[in-house]
Amino acid sequence: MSVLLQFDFWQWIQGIPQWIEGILYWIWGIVKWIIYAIWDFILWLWATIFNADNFFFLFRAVLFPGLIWVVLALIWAVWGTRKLWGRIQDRRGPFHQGKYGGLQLFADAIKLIAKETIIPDKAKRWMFRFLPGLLLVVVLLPFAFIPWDTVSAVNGGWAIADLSVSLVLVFAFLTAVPVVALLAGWVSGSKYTLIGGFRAANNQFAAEIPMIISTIGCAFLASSLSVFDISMAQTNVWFAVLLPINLATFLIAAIASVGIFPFDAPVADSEIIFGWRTEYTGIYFTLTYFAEFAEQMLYSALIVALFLGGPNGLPFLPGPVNFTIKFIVVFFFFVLVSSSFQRLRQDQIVKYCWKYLLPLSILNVIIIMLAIVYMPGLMLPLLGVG
Amino acid sequence: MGFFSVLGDIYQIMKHTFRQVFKRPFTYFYPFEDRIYPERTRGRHIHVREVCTACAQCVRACPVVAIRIDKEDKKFEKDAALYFDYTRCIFCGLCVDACRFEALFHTPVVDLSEGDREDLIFGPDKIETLDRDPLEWRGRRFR
Repeated sequence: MSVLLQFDFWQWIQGIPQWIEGILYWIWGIVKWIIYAIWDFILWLWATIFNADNFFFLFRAVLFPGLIWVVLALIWAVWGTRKLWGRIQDRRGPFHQGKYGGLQLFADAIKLIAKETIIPDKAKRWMFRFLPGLLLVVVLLPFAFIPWDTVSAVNGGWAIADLSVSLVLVFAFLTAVPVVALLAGWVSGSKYTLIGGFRAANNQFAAEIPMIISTIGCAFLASSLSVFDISMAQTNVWFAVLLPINLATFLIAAIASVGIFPFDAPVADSEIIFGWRTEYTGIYFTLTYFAEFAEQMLYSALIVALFLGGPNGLPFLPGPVNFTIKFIVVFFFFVLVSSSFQRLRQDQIVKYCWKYLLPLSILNVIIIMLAIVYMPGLMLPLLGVG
Repeated sequence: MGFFSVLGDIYQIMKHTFRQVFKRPFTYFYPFEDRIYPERTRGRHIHVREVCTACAQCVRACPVVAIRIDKEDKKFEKDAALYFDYTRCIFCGLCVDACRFEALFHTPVVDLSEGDREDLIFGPDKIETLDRDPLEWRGRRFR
């Protein structure tokens, strides 16, 4: 009897609402904790963004010379390329959407995004989905090290980031591009994509060494591996004057590395359908398409920064304007070259890059070193050392 | 020397391409602009009802039965309405040859595309005139 009395039925049934209330408060506590955590994160983010120093850095990194601006410039660059190709081939190029067809690329992007994404049965699905985005990220990241202005962002200028080894870092990112192409060709599970992937790797194999040796001259003359410092070392004379052969070899090697005409064997559409991009449809194709143009833009910006004085130029213009003018000229040259020549064979690419570009790029470095040693009175004032 | 001659060739090619950028395109701004067609181009027909005698020789001459005549539809004393079916017409010109009263001609207008098959059957209202709405694009008027 006494055992049974320990359980008071009426007290138990009276206590049920209190128990439910306790559970509700417990759940509410969890919800409140999550809400406060999110709200604290928002507050932290807000305080971080709208700290005066952080804000202007973020503005530069994300908006003006950074991501958004680069992506918009990318879209207009594709438009300009198509317009120029049209003009070179006696056509008009796009003209229906927007003034002079300026909105054509947005229409194209919307069309491509709206299309069905087809993934082949033999493809490795996860990698197949992951690689185009990775490609675009890898190509867009080095834009952070492009010296848009003579003043770095920490000092209130427009150049986003300055790193003591940014030249090496940029090439580290750019070397990953054909690796992505090779992987994409591999995981697509088609022979044409695989051939295209290996051809992309072959292009890089041929072009990488002359390209990097071409930049060694600039790094020597500026005695720095930072792209910002190299462009700042050209206040007296552009390195294009001292290293003209290196400029040419870098340009050709850059074109070979991007894989546009005349080095477009990786995506040779009359031989291997569309190379390593054959199986990509819809949004993935858009990403690879934009990545190709972003890489062209990146190489144009690198040529401006390394050889054409970067933001140094007409003194009455602000740095970014100087940079952009030269950038547009170099990009125009890219388009001109890519619509002028026929496609080279694989062995020809390797032969030309190694037989001609490599010795030429070394030759110019040696000439400039000898000039510094034997004509210091002429050279050192040009470099701003003497 | 092979190397330098190749460099010269590259320079020539680049020069040509560079000049090409600043040339006007050869293409017409179709459909807003079009080339001038020769006078004897056998394009769409025009039917002059004032001199038509409803003899139906054009209908007899047509090898593909593209012309239909409606003799009841009279505007003048003894004319008829012609219906041209341009889904069938092969622009052979036999109907124009057959017309002895100079009431049927070809015109140099060749852009006949329509959104609907039915619109390609040119009734009397369309076959008797060349007037149409001018083409407009961004406020500019063409043809």
